[in-house]
Parts: sequence; C-alpha cells; structure tokens
Amino acid sequence: MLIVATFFISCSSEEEECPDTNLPYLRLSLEQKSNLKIDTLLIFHDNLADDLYEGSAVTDCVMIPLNLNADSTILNFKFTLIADSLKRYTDTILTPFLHLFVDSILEITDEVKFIHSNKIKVNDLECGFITEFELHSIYYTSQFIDSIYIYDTLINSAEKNHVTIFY
Amino acid sequence: MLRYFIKILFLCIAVGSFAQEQKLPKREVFIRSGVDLSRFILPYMNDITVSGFELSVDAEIKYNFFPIVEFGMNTIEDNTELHNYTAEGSYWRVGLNYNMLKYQHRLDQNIFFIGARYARSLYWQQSSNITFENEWGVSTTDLSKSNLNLTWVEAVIGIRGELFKNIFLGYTIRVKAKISSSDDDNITPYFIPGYGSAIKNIRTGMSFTASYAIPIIRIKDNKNK
Repeated sequence: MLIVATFFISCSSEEEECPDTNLPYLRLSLEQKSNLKIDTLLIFHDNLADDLYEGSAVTDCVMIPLNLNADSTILNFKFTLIADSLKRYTDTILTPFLHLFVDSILEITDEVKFIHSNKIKVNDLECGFITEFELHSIYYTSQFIDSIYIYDTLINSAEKNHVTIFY
Repeated sequence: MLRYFIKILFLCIAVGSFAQEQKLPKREVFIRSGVDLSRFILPYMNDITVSGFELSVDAEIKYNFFPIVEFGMNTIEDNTELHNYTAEGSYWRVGLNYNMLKYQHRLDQNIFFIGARYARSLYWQQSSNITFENEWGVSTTDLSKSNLNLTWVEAVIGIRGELFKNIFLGYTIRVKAKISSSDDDNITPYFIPGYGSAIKNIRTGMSFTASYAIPIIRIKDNKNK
C-alpha cells in the first residue's frame, strides 16, 4: 500500500509553475472624464532612451516599468489636442491653456510619481529570481489629470490592471 | 473424554515445541553500515548541481527489529548570468525498521522491511549577483546568508538483499511529511538536505543502498512459535 501511495503522490503532486515574467510591469489604464478629445498621449522620461507609450489616450493596457534602483518612478504624461478638435468648446475652458497653443496644437504635460518598494524572491530556483513591487502611493500634477485610482498595490503580474488614470 | 483430549492436545504442543527448538538454526548478530549510491548520480539528474553523500548504520537488537541511524550532507550550487546561489547543510534520521519476512527466511539475512523515521536538517543558503534589467537600467543585488532548519517524519519500505556474503544491496522508498521549518522570506530553498524540494509539504523519495554487515556474535534464535 505504501508503494501504491508513493506512486500516487508522485503523479498527483503539484508542480510549481514558473511565473509569466521575472520582472513585472505596472499595468495602467486611462479613462476620459472630460469632453475634450485627446488626439495622442505620450508617456516618457528624459532618462529613458525610448518613449514608453505613444498612442490613444483611451486605453486599458499601458505597461509601465518601475525603477529598480530607486524607491520611486517618475513619468511624464503629455496629452496632445489638435486645435480643430476644440472648436466646439468655449474660450472659458481654453483660457488657462491659451499660452500653450503652438501651431494649433495644445500640449499639456502632467508628472506622475509612483512610490514603491521591491522585493526579490525565488519560489523555484529553476524559474530564477523574480521581483515583486509594492505600490505605496501615487503623486501627480493636475493640469489635465483628474484623479488616479489604485486597484492593486501588489505588482507581480501584468495580467490584471493595477492603476487607472482619469483625465 | 474431554480430559483425555486436553491432555493429548498439551502433549502435542510440548512435542511440537521441543521439535521446533531442536531445529533453530544459528544466526549472526551484525551491524550493517551502508552508503546511499543514488547520491553519486544526483549531480547528473538536475540542471542545478546537487551533490552529497548519505551513510547509514543499523543492527538487529531484537528479533525482526532494526533500529537505524542515517546521516548525510548536501551542497547545492546554481551559477548563471543572472544569479549565483549556494546552499549547504547536513541532516540525520533515526528510526526503526521491522522485518516482515517469516522466520524460515531468516537464514538468508535478507530483509523486507517497513519502518519510520524522525529526521532533522540544518542548512544555510545565500545568493549574490542577482541581476535584473529593464528600461531603467541594470540592477544587481545580494541577499544575505540565512540559517534554516527543517524537521520531518518518514514512512519507509524497502529491502536489503545479500548479494555476496555480508554484502547487501537494497532500496528504500520514503514518504516524507514536514513537521516544522524555519522560513526564508526571500528564497524558498531549492533542495533541503535529506528532504528534497522545499515546495511540497509531503513528498516521496528513494535511496539505493550498498551496505556491509559486520558480524558481531552468533546467537541461537529463541523465538517460540
């Protein structure tokens, strides 16, 4: 009976699966609250060689890499509006931004600072070491960003949304 | 009539016992020391280097009962471009085997046993040059050395067959269950010496043992059946 139990346990025992990634990204979505039509959104930082994102400002999947060598990650969110898109809006709304009009393009940049910590761990050495981030808080300027909501502070997978920015 | 039947019954028992005692073969008491041969192939079974040895000593102190002590050491190393990992430790097991073979097979000194073990392992692990890279650059970290322990129990079944005089080969199948352990917050140990993968609370194992029986004394078996 012991031999049978041995083989049963060997066949049915659970094997640890490797995680999808060893270094997860923060998954961010953006939702529009205002009636202004945003043509493009650019997410960047001067210290990064490439822009992290350039495209539609309404999206549920922007992957944000967090800085491993610091306890915070600072990014710039540049919202671009084409002047033709603004015709139906009154001057009252646009007055604070008139000085930003260049060649009929309106660009508004907000800075977002993610405060986080990271923990290195390994569950199965054959899968290698992994990093998990704990998101503590988010600070941001409000030139165009309305609010930010944190859904999940534990960042160990990009399969689920962690943060939504409302603008 | 009943009285006569009882007297005959007791007479038969006495004759039978006397006859059986006349047939008791001489047996040796021995101390058997062994080495686990499977430890020599461990380094070739995994991508991660696991090496070590295991010794065992058992003796028949009472008919069919074999107390046993096992001791071993393991070293684990995994060096890649992304990390360096080292773990090392020792373990011991104490237990008892019970031979299930019938008395008439005892002449061969072969045993087919079941048994139990109580075991404990003391080990340490350390990791360095843990490297990650993303758009922000490269990060390299070291994790400090941590001293850990694990206690577990085993149910075992196995055989020891005499291949040549006093030289035995055999195997032991083990079902192991954790009792208590100290944990490392960062690293789940890859291989706990004597136990195996730390991921599972119940696991199985097998050892293949070569051993030599050192004769001590010859005794007459006095077990009455």
